Amino acid sequence: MSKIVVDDKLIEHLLNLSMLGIERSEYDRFRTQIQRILDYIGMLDELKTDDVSPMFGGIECPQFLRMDITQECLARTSAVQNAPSEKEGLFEIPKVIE
Amino acid sequence: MDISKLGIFEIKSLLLKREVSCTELVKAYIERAERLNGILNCFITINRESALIEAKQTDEIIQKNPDGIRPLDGLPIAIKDIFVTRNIRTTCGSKILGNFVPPFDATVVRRLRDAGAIIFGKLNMDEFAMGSSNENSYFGPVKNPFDLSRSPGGSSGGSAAAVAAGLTPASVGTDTGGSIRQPAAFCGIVGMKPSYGRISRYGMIAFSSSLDQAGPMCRNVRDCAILLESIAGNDPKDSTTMSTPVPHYTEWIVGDPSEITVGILRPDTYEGVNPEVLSAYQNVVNLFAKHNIPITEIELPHIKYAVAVYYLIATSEASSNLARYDGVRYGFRSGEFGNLREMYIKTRMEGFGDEVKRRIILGTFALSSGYYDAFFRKASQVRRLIANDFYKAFSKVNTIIMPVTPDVAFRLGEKVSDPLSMYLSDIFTIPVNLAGLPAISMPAGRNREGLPIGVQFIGKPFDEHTLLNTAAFYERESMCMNILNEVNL
Repeated sequence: MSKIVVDDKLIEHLLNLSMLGIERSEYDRFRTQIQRILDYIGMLDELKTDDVSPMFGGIECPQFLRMDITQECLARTSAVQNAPSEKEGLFEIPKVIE
Repeated sequence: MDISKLGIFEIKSLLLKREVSCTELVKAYIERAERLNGILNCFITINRESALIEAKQTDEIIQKNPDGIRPLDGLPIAIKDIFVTRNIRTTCGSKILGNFVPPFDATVVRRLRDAGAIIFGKLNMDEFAMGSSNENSYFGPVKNPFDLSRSPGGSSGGSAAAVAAGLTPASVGTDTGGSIRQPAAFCGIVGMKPSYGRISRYGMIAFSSSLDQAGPMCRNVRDCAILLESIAGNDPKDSTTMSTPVPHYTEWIVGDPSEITVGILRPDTYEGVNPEVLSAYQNVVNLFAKHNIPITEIELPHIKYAVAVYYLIATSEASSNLARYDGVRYGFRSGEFGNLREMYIKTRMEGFGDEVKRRIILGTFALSSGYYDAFFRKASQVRRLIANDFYKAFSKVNTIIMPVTPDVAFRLGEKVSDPLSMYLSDIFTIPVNLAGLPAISMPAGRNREGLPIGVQFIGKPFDEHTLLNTAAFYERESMCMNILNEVNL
């Protein structure tokens, strides 16, 4: 991997992708910290891994799904009990249709 | 009655002999927790009312059926606030879940309750388990009972400090990159991270799904075995739990030295490690040698890459897992927004702390178009190399001994502005999570300032019983296990 330069444009792109926001005054700090971490991560370049298969899970044993049998699920009143805004048993969000 | 030095086994004995009632115990722990929380800040929530109702019911059960007592009947316990608890607030140390009252129990919680335990409190932690010092909690940092100016470690710092100070007889924490073992080492207790897949993650709020694992945090090895036996095992609600039978761990704590073969790394691996930590580690190795336990030098050539790998994999998984906090179905919602997108962004901006934001940004980077292969995939390939190193070593030995941390508990505020330096303090714990292995952190003495030092024993996948045997041997032979007697709060 070539050296990544973390600039405001990259930070803005990542904030946009992750639906996140930080104050303008915090950009410098975040940029510097993330640059430093990515520079450290650059050490992985030392390793040739072309023939290594990636390990994506914590263990590599067969995983079994449970039988496809209908089970009791959360009642609607319980499901919405923590909603910041709820109307008639539904989650309420700002209007999205113009 | 002084409850501050009681563990699970002692409490079970007291209850069986009718020397104390469950209600008296729960009351005593709640009063102690309320009295000392102003100093240590271990508890986010104390569950007084329903815990006392449950205690009364348990007393009636024990009264009617003294022989049919369940493994944890009447045990008051406080757990990390990462496990969802029905009708008890569960925050995960975050503002975004500050008022979240789950409608269901995590499997770990269900199993604790089914075994008879009474959950009387939820313990402080770094926000979403992201941190090594507990300073990332929205509810303020926990203090180390050995020195109130120091961190108890993290992310299960509330659990470690509460066990060490006798605010709970035991606890259950979680370990994604060392979050059970490092605080256990900093607070002088025993903390076990089981194999990935040994304990259900259902209802355990997700940080990094391929690394997260729950485990016991206790005053001694026997309590760890009792607790692990109660919460381990396959769960249809978590397809990554293995159906491998759960051994009777309490039968394995005999400490038989003939069952142990030890692997150690070359001394130059530990360049830069605090000399007092290194000396404590060496003393532990010498103790095994003194009992003629075979010790073999092993190689783990890729562990130096573990922190780099971890901060790509864990952040990538976190960026995905934390996408669910959007202010729609539960948790905090910002009060000011013009449209739906703005609501998402402001909710997450105001609801998450700095470390969580930093990790979401990093993880989003590693998974984003153009960078995935060079970062996330590359990290997953190196993860394989690290795991293979361990498997190779375990063809020669059944236990690897390593320090838990390069240093003792750091001062609160010491590393908070330097995330990379904080991340590097997990260099010896992270490789174990990447390979999905079990490991147990044990007290190994104190430094000149009286701060605890830890050592870890690492085992083969699903070989927790051998690990407990090794830990029991060490506990019996070592002079370091009375460390908690020094905590007097």
